[in-house]
Amino acid sequence: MAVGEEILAPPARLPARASTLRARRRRTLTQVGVVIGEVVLALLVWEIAVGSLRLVEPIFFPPPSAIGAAFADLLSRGVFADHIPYSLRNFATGYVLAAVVGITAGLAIGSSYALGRLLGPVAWSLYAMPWISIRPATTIWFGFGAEPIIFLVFLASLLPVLLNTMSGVRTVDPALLRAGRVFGGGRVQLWWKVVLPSAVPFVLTGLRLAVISGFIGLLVAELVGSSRGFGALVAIASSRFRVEEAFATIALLVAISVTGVRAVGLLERHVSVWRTRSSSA
Amino acid sequence: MARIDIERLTVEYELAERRQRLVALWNIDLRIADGEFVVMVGPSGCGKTTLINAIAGLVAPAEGRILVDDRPVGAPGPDRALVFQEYALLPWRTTWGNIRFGVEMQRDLTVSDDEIQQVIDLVGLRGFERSYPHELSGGMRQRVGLARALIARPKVLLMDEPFAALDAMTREVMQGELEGIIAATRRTVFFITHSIDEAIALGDRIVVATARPGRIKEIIEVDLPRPRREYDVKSHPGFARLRERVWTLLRDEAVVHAHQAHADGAA
Repeated sequence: MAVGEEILAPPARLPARASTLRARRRRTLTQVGVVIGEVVLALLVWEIAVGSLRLVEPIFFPPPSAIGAAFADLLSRGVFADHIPYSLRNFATGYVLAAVVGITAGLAIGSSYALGRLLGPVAWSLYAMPWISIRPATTIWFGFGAEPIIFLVFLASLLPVLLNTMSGVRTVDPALLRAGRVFGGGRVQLWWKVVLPSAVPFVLTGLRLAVISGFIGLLVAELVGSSRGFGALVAIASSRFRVEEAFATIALLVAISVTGVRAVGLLERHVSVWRTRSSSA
Repeated sequence: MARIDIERLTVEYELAERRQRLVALWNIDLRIADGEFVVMVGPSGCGKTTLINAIAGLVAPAEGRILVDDRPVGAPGPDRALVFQEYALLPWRTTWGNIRFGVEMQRDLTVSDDEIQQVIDLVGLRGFERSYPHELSGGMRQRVGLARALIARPKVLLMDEPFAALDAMTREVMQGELEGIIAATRRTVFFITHSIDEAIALGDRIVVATARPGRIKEIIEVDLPRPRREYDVKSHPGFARLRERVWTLLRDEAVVHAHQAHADGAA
């Protein structure tokens, strides 16, 4: 036995092998590559089918190249610059209002048995209601300005936030409440230190889902009775048989919406590290 | 340290759907001396957890009373602390934060960072102050649970099957360390378990309980020398003798319980 061999017991944790890290990076790159490949392939098939082979009349269903050209045109003529800030302002106003009201109401309804009984069914009914159907009525209530649009964004984003917050409050682990009570915690202390923190991940999930439904609300609201914004662009383009312009506008909206979802998702992951990994521990 | 006197304690639960009352504990008389380590063993449904909840002040007795140092138990208080089987740690808080939680829930209590560090060292969590529960093993999590209970300097430590979820080896290590910690901090301990071996390894006395309604069947003195962690307690001749005695008492109960469960199922 060589001198000192016995003190050379291997440590419990070693840095990962370079080859393992390389393999993992390769796997990630492959995944990204596959997604890009898929999209490119789909666009290519679409382009060939419509653009080259003309299997469908391009005026009804334009090829990607036409949509790209329309996008560049709308951008360079400053059409997007005219309409998009207006839309984003409406979205932001409605979304922030929905977040504030949704979190507050969700916490209240989730925490109180009486409020839950009283307002829970109302909240679910509102969620079930196709809010598109009240778009004409909002014009009667608010007129033709930005208000009906903001209201619809608000309504569309409110319920995901409210209902998720509510269930976050209700699904608090009873063992944690018992622990808090044993250590002498009163109702108020338990609410601040146990109920509220355990609802946070649910609130963020609600906020993430609300981005999507909020943008849908925005587009629908602007489609009817608005002369500005994403929806107005789509409506005007479609009425003039400029389907490629409508598609270009929709593509931009989807890109913004998905970016918003990603942003909230990153925040969610950052805040609830303890939750995402606790299942594997 | 404190003395616990349980006098003619009966605890009932209302079963709303069957219009019945379930008697969880029936006429319990038990005196736990200052600094004593009492372990309760019994079949499922013998009301072990109900008794712990009653001492903690979470459930009110239907009859009888519980005195801690001659003061009747009404509500949870800083003189008693509980260690949970399911750990019940806040997953969003680190070891340090979870131990602080035991303090924050009590309005009049202030504890310095030095004291928290002392408790962390005592339970062997040094180096894990900033770890979240999901980063810790079961044994380490229960160390956090123990530290959280000790930080408020309770006179009575209540332990509700604290090691039941641990693997056999970790469990024995934790039992040994618990004996050392209790010897160092001088606490009155009321400990619940399903394991006869654990009861003998830890207890000064073992309370054997019956099932439905929970009553005390017999109390057995454990006359094995301490500290038991310093020798192999399971190979001590007294261990086998105690084990057989407790097991005989429990086996009758387990059989009765199984028949009861069968009858309930048939009804």
